[in-house]
Amino acid sequence: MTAVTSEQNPGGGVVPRPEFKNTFPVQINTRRVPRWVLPTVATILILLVQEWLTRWGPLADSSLPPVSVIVQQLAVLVITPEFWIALGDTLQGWAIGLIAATAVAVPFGLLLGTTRWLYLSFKLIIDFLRPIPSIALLPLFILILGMGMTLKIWVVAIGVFFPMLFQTLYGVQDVDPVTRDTARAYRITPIRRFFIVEFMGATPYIATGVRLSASVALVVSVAVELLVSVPGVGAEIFMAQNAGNIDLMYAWIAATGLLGLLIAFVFIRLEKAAMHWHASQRGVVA
Amino acid sequence: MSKRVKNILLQLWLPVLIVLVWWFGSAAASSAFFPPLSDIVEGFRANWLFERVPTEFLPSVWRFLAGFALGSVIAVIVGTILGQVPWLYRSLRPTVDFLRSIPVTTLVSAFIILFGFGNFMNIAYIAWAAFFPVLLNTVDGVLGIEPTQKDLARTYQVSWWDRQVRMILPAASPQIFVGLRISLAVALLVMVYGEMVSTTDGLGFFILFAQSTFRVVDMWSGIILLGLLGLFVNLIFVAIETRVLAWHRGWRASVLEGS
Amino acid sequence: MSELKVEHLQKVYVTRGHQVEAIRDIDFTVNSGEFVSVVGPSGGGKSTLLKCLSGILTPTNGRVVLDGVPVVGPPDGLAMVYQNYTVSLLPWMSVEDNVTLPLRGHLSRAERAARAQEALESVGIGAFGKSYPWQLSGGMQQRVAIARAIAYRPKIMLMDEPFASVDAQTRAELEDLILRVHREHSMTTLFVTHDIDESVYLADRVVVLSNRPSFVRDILEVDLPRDRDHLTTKALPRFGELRGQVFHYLRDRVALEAGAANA
Repeated sequence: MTAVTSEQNPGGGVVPRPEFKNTFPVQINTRRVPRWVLPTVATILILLVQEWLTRWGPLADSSLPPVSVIVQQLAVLVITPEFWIALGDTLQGWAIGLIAATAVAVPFGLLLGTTRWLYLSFKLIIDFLRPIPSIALLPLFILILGMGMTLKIWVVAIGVFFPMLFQTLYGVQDVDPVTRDTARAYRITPIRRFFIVEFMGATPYIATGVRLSASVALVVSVAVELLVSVPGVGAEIFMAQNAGNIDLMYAWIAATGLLGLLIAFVFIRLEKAAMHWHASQRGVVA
Repeated sequence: MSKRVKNILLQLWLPVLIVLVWWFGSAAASSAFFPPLSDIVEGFRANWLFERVPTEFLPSVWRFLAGFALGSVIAVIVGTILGQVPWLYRSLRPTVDFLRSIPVTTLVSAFIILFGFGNFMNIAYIAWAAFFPVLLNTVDGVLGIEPTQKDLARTYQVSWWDRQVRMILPAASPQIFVGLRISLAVALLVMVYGEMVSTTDGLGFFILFAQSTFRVVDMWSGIILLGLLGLFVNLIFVAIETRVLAWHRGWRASVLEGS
Repeated sequence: MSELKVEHLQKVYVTRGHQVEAIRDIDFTVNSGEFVSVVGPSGGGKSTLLKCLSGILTPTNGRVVLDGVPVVGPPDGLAMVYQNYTVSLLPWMSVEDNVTLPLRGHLSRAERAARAQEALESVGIGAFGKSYPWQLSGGMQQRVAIARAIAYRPKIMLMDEPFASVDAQTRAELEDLILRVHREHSMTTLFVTHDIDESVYLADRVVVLSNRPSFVRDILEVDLPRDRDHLTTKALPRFGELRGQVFHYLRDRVALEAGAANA
C-alpha cells in the first residue's frame, strides 16, 4: 500500500465495506464454480500476456523483463545471504521507526484528543507540519545525523508520526458522547473512565493507523536507502540499476512487492482483531 | 474574554512562542543546521519572492498537478467501470493488490529506465502513485451504492449516460474524495522524491542540492516553501470537497436525525 | 390504463448451492385502472414479487404480462415508489431534478420543468422544487417520490410499502393523497403493504399472500363506496368485516406455524 498520510474523516469511511454482489445483467452462475477460480485464471492470463509482450511482442525491446526472467532472478537472489541482510536492514529501520513513532504519537494523540486547550495550542503546528512529506526533511536530517541507520529510523519515524497522531485524534474525537456521559454518570474515576471510553474507543482507529503506517514506513525506508545508499533494499535497487543489471533490479522490486503484500496481510489481520468488537466498520481504503 | 477570542489566542500562543524562541535562540547561539531565523526569512524572500519561482517552484507545481490529475481521472474512470462489473474486478484484484503493494519509492528506477529523465517521467510516476488510492476508493464507492438506486435506474429507464454521470458518480463521490485526499499526499511525496532522485530542477532537487552544497539557509527556505505548498494545496482541496459534498453532509444529518 | 397479469409466478433464489423458494405460486390480475393492494406477512416475499413484476428479477416459473406483453426486464411505462425515500430520492439533486430524471432524453427542458411543477403541485408541494429532498420531512419526501411516478405518466404504478416509514398521521394523509391521485389519473395501481387497515382502505381488491413460500390465500373484493374517508369508511361494518377476514388469514398463518413448530 502506498498511502502516506492517512485520513480518517470522523464522518466517514462513508460506506461500509460491501460484499461483492453480482448485479451485472450477465449472471455468472457461481453455484458450481468456486470463487477463487476466476481471479486465479485471470491472473495467470495476465502473466502469460506479460510474458508474451516482453518476449516476442511489442515490449520485447523495452527494458521490462518477462515475468519468468524476474522470477528466475528472484529465485537466485533469495538464496543469497546478501538478500536477507539487505531485507533485514530495511526491516530494522522500518520496525524501529514504526514502533518509536507510534509510541510517541499515540499517547500524544490521546492527550491532545482529551484536553481541548492542548489540542488548540498545537493545532496550527501540526496542521502546518503534516503535509510536509518526511522525505523533504531528509536533507536536514542528513546534516544533523549523517548517513546511516539512525538517519533512516528518524525519517521513517517522522513519516509515520503525523498519520498516527491524526488517526489517534480522530479515534478519540469520535467517541460517542453518550458513552462518555454514561461513564461519568456511573462515577467511574477519570483515569479508568479515560481508559474505558477514550482509549478503547480509539483503538480501532489506532489499529487502522498502524496498518496504514506500516506501508508508509516501508515506502520511506526504501526511499532513504535509495537516495543516500544507506544499506537496505533501496540501496540494492539503486546499485542494480547503476550496474545496468535490470533483471536484478526488477527482481528486487518484485521482492519488495511481496514484502509489501506480506506486511499488508499481517497488519490487516491485526487491525481486524482489534476492530472485531467495534460496532461499525469505518474504512479508509489505501 | 469571548470564547472566540479565547480559541484564537489558544491556537496562537504556542506557535508564536516557538517562532520567538527560534528567532532569538538561533541569533544568539549559532548552529550549522539551525541558522538564525532572520537569515532564513531573508533567504526565503530572496529565493521565492520571486527570483527562483519560475525555475524551481513552478516546475514542481506543474508536475504535481498534472500527475495528480492524470492519475486520479484515470483511476475514477477505471474504478467506475470495475465497480459495475464485479466479476472483472475480482479477476483483476490479485494483480492490482500486488502492484499497489510495491512501495512507490522502489519504482523510481524502473520509471527512469522506461521513460528516461524529464517531465514526462515525473508526471507518469506521480500519476502511478496517485492512481491506486483513488482506484480502490472509487470501486468501493461504486460497489456500495444502494441497490434501490440501481433498481430505480433500471425501472425508470434512465439512460446509460445519465446513470453514469448523474447517479453513479455522485453516489460514489464521498468515497472517491476519501481516496483523492490520500493520493494528494502521496502525489506530493512522490513529486519531491522523484525530483530528488532524477531531476535538475524543482523543489525536491533544490532542497537536496542546497544541502549537499552546504547552503543551509537555502535548504530551509525550500523546506518551508514546500510546507506552504502542501498546506495551500490541502486548503484548496478541503474547500472544493466542502462545496462538492455539501449535499452529503445535509443528507447524512437528516438521516441520522431520522427525519 | 393497463392490465397486469401475474400468471403462476414462482421464484426460487439460488445462492452458493443453497436454495430458497420465496414465491411458490402467485396468480392474479390487476385490471386497467384498478387499485389492488397486496398484503402479507413480513418477509413473505412481497419485495420479491415486486421485483419480478418490475422486471428486475426473472421468475423461475410462470410469467408477468403487462398490457399483453410479457415482462422480460424492466418494461416501459412502469413506475415504482419505494419504501425508503432517503435513498430512492437522490440526495445530490433537487426535488425538481429528482422528478425530471426519468424524463431526460424524452422531453425538452421546458417540458420537463412544466411536468415536474404540475406533478409537484398535484401532490401538494409545488413550492419545493428547488429544495433538496433531505431538507423536507418524511411525508413530503414520499410525496416527491409519488410526484416522480406521476410525472413519468406510467401505465402502471407499483408501490412497495411506501408509507411504512412515516408516522401514523402522515400515513393517513398520504393514503388519501394516493386515493386522489389514483382517481384523478385513473392510474392502475398495485400497492404492497403489511398494514391490514391500509390494504382494505385503499383498494378495489385485496390480494392476501401467505408466508414464504408465498401463494395467494385469497382475493377479497372491497365493496365499499369508492369515496373513501378515514372517519366514515372505517366506521362502516363492512370495513370491519373485510379487515377481519384479512386479519384472519394472516393470523391463521401464525397459529399454523406455531402449531407446526410445537408438533
